[in-house]
Amino acid sequence: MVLNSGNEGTLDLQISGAETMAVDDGSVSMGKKFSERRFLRRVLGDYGSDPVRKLLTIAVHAVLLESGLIGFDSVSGMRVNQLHLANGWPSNSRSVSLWYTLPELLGNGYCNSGNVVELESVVSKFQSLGHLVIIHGCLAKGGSGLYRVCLNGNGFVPAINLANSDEETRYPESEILEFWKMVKDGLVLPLLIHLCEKTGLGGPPCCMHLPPELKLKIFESLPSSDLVKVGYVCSALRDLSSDNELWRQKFIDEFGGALGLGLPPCFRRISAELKLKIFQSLHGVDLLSGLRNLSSDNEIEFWKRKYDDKSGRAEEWKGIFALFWESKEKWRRQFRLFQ
Amino acid sequence: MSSTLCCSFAKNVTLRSSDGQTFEVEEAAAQVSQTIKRMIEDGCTGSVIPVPNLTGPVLALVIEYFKKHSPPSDGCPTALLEMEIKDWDAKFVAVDNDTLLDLTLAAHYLEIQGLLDLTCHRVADILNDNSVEKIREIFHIKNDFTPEEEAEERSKIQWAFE
Repeated sequence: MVLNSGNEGTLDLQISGAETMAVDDGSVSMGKKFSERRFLRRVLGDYGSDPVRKLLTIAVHAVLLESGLIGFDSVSGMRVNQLHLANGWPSNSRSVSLWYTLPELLGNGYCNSGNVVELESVVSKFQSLGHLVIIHGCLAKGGSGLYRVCLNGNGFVPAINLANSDEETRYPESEILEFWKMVKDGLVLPLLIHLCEKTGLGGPPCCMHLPPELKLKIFESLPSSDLVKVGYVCSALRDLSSDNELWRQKFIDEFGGALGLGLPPCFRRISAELKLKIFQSLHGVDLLSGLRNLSSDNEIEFWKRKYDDKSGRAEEWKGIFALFWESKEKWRRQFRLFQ
Repeated sequence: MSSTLCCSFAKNVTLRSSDGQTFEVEEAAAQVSQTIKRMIEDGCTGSVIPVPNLTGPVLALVIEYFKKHSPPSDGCPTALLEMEIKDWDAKFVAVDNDTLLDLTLAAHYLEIQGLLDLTCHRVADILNDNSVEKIREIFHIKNDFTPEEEAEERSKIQWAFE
């Protein structure tokens, strides 16, 4: 969708000659399902009664177009407005390759000079195996992974046919959504992102583009172990997911209510003396005097100080969390009978 | 399509997306967005309200959300209605990642708390359900750690996986 900005003129998807895909006149109820359906119907056109592989191929073609890509002929470099599968997928062939690119790339003179090789594009190879259609996609000039989607004709073809019919009430919304999601997430978006990356164009939205406050909000609802996992994805996410305030909250959620001692709630029943003994054995320090009359808040402060002393620097809550977590796990292993 | 026209007495506002599409929606429904609510209160209702950060298809989706979440005209929402809305919400964000992120940004910009919670939870679920490698793939994030850094990071976070 982002790709549309500033290029409305070139992005109108010419499907059947003069008919354009300019999205709407502003009717109120044009929702997602209508826009996907509209795409399918416009693109499918008269192919509705074709065999499984053609129908699926054209439906995938529709997803590619909806994402802002355009088809072109790999030999002439000319834009292909209408899929001519009758020629493109001969009846005795099991596979067909189609080329797509961004309008920005096709419009910058490459094709006019006949220098088609220079055109960055993606190739989708459609293969048919019985009722399955397998689509492989990669960048035409290499430099990306190979993405693969396997579509079951038995599952999707009836839904696509229904979507292409005039029966308003029987529109198979969930099937079409599933199809769209499979193709878009599994094939089209990865290719689009690689293509944009390689050509320096602004890509489709990616979670890295969300503002930091939104990422933090997402992190708030992640369990601590998953938050740690996310920090392992890349350095930017590591820095953001180590946010001190975030981990302070995680610490309070995880340990704050449970005696502040890094013990699971079931340990509430254990006598204070036993608790202290356990902590002596875990940390080799006499905590008796320090812990006797601590309230929950003070305990947290106590542990924070203890951690600071230990590491010699004012470590963040993430570190304190890890320290607590470790003692909890150690405790769990040593005293299984309390679980 | 014309269902909003026949029950005509509710006051409508017109919203315009970045690509110039316009949408008419009941004023009460549009006020689900705090940003739009403020604009209406500041007296922008006479003309079209511009929503320059959203493209037409995304704005169309957001308006669907408005309609479902506009305050009921006849008193308190029932438990049944709340359940129905919850189901509807779950389906509403079961979209491709591209659309999900568009919706998240839209909810942020328009200050739609309910939708923001919904989309953020959905993204969190995706992070939750997938391995580090898979997350990199889904969101197309480059692994910028050197092998040494990667090993160090892994040893530091070992506690979370034991």
